[in-house]
Amino acid sequence: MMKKYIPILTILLLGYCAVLWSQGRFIISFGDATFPQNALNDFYRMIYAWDSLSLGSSTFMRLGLALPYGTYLLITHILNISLIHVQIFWNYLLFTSLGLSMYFLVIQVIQDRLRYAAGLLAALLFMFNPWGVINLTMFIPFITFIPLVLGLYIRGLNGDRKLKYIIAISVLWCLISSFSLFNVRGFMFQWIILIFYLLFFCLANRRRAGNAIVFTIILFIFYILLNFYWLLPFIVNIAQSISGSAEIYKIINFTRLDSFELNSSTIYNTLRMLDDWSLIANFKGSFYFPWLTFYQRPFLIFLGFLPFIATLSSLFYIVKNRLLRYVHFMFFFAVLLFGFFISTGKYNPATMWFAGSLPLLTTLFSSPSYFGGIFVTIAYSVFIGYGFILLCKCTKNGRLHAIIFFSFICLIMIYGYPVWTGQFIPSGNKILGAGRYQLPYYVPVLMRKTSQDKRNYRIFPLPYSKLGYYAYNWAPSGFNGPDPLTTALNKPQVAGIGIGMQIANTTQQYVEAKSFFRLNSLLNVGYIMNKRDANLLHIKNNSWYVVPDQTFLNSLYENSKSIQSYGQIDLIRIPDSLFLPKLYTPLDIVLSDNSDSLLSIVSQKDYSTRTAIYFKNQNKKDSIQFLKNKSVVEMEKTILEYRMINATKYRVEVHGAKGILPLIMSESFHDGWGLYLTKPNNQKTRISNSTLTQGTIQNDNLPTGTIFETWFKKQINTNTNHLMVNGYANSWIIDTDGLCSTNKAVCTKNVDGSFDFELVIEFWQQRLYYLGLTISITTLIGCVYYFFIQRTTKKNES
Amino acid sequence: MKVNEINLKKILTGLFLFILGLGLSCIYFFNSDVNPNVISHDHQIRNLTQDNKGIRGEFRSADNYLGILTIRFDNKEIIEKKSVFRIKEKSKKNWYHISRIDAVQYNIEPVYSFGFPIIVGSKNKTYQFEVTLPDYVSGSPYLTLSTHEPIITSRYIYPWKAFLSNQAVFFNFLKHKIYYQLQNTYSPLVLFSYMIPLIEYMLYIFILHKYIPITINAGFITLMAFFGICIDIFILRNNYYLFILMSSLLWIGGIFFYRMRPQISIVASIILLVWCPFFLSAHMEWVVEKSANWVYILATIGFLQYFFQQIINYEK
Repeated sequence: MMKKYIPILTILLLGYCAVLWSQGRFIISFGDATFPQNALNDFYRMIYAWDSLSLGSSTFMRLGLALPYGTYLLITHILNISLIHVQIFWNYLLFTSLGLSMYFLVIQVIQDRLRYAAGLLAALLFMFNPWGVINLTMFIPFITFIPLVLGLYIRGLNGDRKLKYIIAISVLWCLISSFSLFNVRGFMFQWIILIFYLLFFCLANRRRAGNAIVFTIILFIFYILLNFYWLLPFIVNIAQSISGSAEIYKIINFTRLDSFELNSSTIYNTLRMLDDWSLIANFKGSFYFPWLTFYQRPFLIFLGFLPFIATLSSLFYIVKNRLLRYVHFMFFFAVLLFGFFISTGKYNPATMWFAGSLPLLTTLFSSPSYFGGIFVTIAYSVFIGYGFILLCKCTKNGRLHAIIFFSFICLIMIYGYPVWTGQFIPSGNKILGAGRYQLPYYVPVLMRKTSQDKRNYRIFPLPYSKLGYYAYNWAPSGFNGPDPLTTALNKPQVAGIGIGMQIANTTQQYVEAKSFFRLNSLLNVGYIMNKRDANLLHIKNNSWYVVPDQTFLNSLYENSKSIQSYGQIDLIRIPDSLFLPKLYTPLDIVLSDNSDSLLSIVSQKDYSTRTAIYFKNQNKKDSIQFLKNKSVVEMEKTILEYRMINATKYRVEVHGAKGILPLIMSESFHDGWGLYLTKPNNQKTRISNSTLTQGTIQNDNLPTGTIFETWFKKQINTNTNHLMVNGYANSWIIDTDGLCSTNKAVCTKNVDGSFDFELVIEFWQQRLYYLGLTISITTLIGCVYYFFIQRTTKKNES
Repeated sequence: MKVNEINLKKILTGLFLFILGLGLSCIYFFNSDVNPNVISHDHQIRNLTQDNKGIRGEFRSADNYLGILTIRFDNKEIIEKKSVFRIKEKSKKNWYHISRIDAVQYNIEPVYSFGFPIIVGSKNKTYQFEVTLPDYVSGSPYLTLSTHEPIITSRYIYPWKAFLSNQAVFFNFLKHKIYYQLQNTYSPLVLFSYMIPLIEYMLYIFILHKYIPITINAGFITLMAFFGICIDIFILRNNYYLFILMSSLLWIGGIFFYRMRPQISIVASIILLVWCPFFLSAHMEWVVEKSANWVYILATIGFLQYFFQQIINYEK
């Protein structure tokens, strides 16, 4: 009994080094590993299919994060635990899970009295290895839990109680790794390794092959049903996901094949659990992974080759003595060879041929060394266990076994030195900032200011980030990574490619401040945020950022009446006369050929702030035709009252609408946005803390309504009247007379012949989430019920 | 008599391995420069001046066909400006070659090679060069040279035709090439790595033969495959996939024809693998890469052979 639990305790104890990484006062954030500054905001982003960050985008990929990551964030937020401690505990959980997961796998596959010791060695190598920290496996739970899922699957295939076991695996699987599967590759990798094992199992046990296939199919069905809440929206949007990331690659002048080639690794580096790119990757001469020089020392070079030498020697021993009971060794050796095959990427003509010939292969596997490395590291960890067992076979002396065991531990700990010291987290220099940060004193003040301001608006940051990363000169060693301000401030900040980048690009040449304000008004921007704490050494001449011209910045300061300074950050308020609310009706409509003319349109003297600009190249021909034929009349008298209920739903009360009503909503255009006519709200709503701005009142007292209020209603919009406006936003051209003549019950006619009515704007894909969630919860209840029935039957029988 | 014959065989094998080690080292030295037909010469710091505006210096050309000048920088900060590289013969008035380079490149590539049209008759002539920042503003970061030797290296690109037309040129080139490589810090490690077969052989005949008796019963095809592997690893610097495929097929052919056991491929793989850390410590990256590729190929062959044997046995 003790033999089994001592390794678990050791893993839990050694996992404590994850606590030290943050040095007690920093948030860790670098590469793709990030942690939200505002836990509640981040939680909301996980339960809605539309993400309001930047200019808004469908966020089906994040839905899977809600469980258990989002729930963890929510609970810690309710308990008011400091963010640093929240992250420390989360990192500890994930890091120890790495070890425990591998430990479980090894004690399943190695049937030997020393298997617990072997399991501990494997767990330690899986936790403390350079590949793991280069690729931040401890922050990517789909890798963390691969060994556990595989171990459960192996146990399931070899066990007796099939259905019960399938249910248990799928429920556990859903809980432990659904939150990390928002990346399609994560989902694929967990299944690839299981299918790989199934093939192996079928070849090795042909009599049981049929049962194994049935077992896997049922497991797959349960898995799909339990994960339906994120899988359904994900499947519907998969094409969009692929095209979206392709566009980002295009903007940074990079192709998938470039990425594939850059991230390929030679075998000799993969053998040492390193990869080529990380060893040489630098930015303006500063290395991304300076700690990797540690592995250039001769002793470490020899140590790096040792696992594979041990693996091949074990293979030799098994092959020579025909030890058939080590059948799993063969499986993991195949996994290892497969890992090497993938990792080599461009160095391997076969892989290159596949990459060039199979569509989507470079999209899904754009980083060969990363994907191959997953297999290599898992296999190596298991082989350390096997190596130890086989070495112990050479002698029956218990003391010698102990010496071998502790020698293995020492070698692993030496090889994983940067992991337990936290050296792998960038310590920062003038060009590449640190991976640990502490918000400077002025950011929390700014956070309070933005959360107290209840108006809906966006912030336009300068310098501008195209990919959401940022570099700051924050004390003590700067910061470089995913921008913490993105989630810290309560208002979305414009970032990324598209119209935001187009507007940001105008700041590099001389553009009049007024024109720039007008451009921003189209994005519902309330403030321009000048970040004087940006690390210009990093940002300048970097294709990921747009740095404004100094003359332009000066003119911006001169032309603004209200500038608020928060330490190194200045908020330049857009003049009220130029501010456009999130929903508005235009007084002027401009038709133009393409979005390149945006700046010249807003620079015209007679330009009115309440203008809607339609571009022919962004809309269907017949839609534009539709717009030409309708004349916009009497919109001065139309007043909109709206409430943003959540990221996917808005309630709009239209007062005094007549004739053709173009309704503009400043969220990125998406076919999923629908417009519904609803029963007017009889309750008298009180307009508080709000003023009429450009014909719109933001009224947060409007009712929220129910989830289902629009479910069986027909949308007002059709293909022809839902258009893209202002280069990115949604607009609906509503024929109020036609609408109210067919829906008299819901429209109120005023004395002047105009109409009052109520609309709901909703992102319909949110329904997929609700539908999927219902299926997932029903399946879960079914599973619990099945266990309950089983137990009762057993009790009755006994 | 028989004993003497065996000893002679052992001595000859040892001698062969020694010559092989030397030969392979020479081949490696040839392949390890920018190109096989390039020789390099490190210069002592002399008349080298550096100030805020740039670096200036002169060197005496060691040979003909001067074509590349390598300078080792150590810029403390990023310089976001254009730099200008110029070179000319000291006695001449006009610059022979001028090029503009982004100074940030010296941070990315601190040992930076400036190329220019080959100067055929450059031997024993003194050349002046400078790398300057024309847009330098007082107080901004400037170019800094490294303190690690060699700071300046000149490279001479011999045309292949010159070797064919004049044998003396070729031998002069050979002498310089080997001399330069022997000065390299890693050259003893390279020599040591290539002497490992000899060391292993001596270790075997003096000690290990008592414990591990080895009988090699390889046929002609396996021998061909073995030579193919050796040529690929030690002689060919680039990857010739057809050659690798042919050698692999020959090895597989050897397995079929001579009923080789799977452990032979695995042992071959282990031997190559054990060599890798030595090569890597000696900074012989391309040799390690090739060796590791063969480790992978041979391990895969051995594994698949055993695996399919087991499947066939299972059916029986």
